[in-house]
Amino acid sequence: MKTVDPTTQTYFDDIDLGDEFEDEWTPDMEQVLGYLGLEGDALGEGGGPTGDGRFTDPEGARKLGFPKPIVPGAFSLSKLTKLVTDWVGTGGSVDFVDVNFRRPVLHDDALKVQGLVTDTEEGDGAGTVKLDIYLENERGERPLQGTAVVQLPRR
Amino acid sequence: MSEEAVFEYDESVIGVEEEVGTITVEAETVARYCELMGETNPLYTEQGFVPPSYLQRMRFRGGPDPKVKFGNTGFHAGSRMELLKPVKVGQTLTGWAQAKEVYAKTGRSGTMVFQVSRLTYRDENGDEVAHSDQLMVRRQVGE
Repeated sequence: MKTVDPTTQTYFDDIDLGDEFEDEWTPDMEQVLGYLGLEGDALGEGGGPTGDGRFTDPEGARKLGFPKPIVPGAFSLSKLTKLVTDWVGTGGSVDFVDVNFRRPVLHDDALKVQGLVTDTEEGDGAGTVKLDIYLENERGERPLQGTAVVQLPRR
Repeated sequence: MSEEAVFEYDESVIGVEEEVGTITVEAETVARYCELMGETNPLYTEQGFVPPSYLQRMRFRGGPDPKVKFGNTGFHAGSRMELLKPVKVGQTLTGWAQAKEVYAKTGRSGTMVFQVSRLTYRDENGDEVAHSDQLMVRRQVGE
C-alpha cells in the first residue's frame, strides 16, 4: 500500500489496475471543534449545525444512540476528497467524487483513508482513472465508501 | 409484496432552481481550512487554488424545501460533487439550489424516503464551476 504525497506527481503511465494508496486519520474532539468553528465563522455565528450535541457532546450523542460523539459527514468526506487530490498531485484534476455514508464515524476512530484504481482510459495528454475510495475503521467497517474519477497527466 | 409507502411532500418545488446567495472565497478562510485539513498540496497552500472539498464548506442559504413528511428521523446518506472548473481564492461564487427528486424504497428494514438536492456553483460570468448533490434519507425508527 502506497502513501500519498501531493508534491510527487502520479502519472497515468505509471499506474495499474489494483494499485492502492492510503492515508491515516484519527479525528478527535479538537479537530471536530475546529471544523465546526470554521463553519460557524462562515455563517457568522458559532456552534454546531444540529443543536443536539451529536458532534461534540458525549451525553448528547449517547441520547441519540451513539457510543461517542460522531464526526460530521462533510468532514469525513473532505478527508476522503483530500486523499484523491493528494494522489492526483498538482498536475492532475478531479472530475467527481461520489460517496455513500453507510455508518457514523466516531471520535477517535483510527481510520485508514484508502483508494484503489479500478479502471483506466487513455486520452490525449491525460488519462482518465476511476477509483474506489473509502474510510475503514479499526473494526473493519467502511463508514464512507464511494468512487472518484480523475484525470492524470501522461509522461 | 411490499405495501406502497405513504409519505407527503410539496411537489411544486421539485426542479425549481433558486439563487441562495453569493460568497467570496477569502484567502484567510481557505488558509485556515487548509491548516485544519493538514493540506500540503502546493496548489492549495501556495498557488491560490481552492481545495474541492472547501466548496462544501461554503454555507449558502437553504434552497427550495419539499418538506418531506415521513418517519421520525433523518440522516445524510450520500454526496456527489462534480467539479467542472477550478476555483481560485478571491472568486465570488453564487449558489443555485434545487430539490431534484423525492422517492421511496422499501426493503427488509422497512421504508426509507430519499430526497436529492442539488447545489450548483456559478462564477462571476455565470459559468458553472461545480455541482453538489446531497442525498438525505428519512425513516421511521421504533414505534
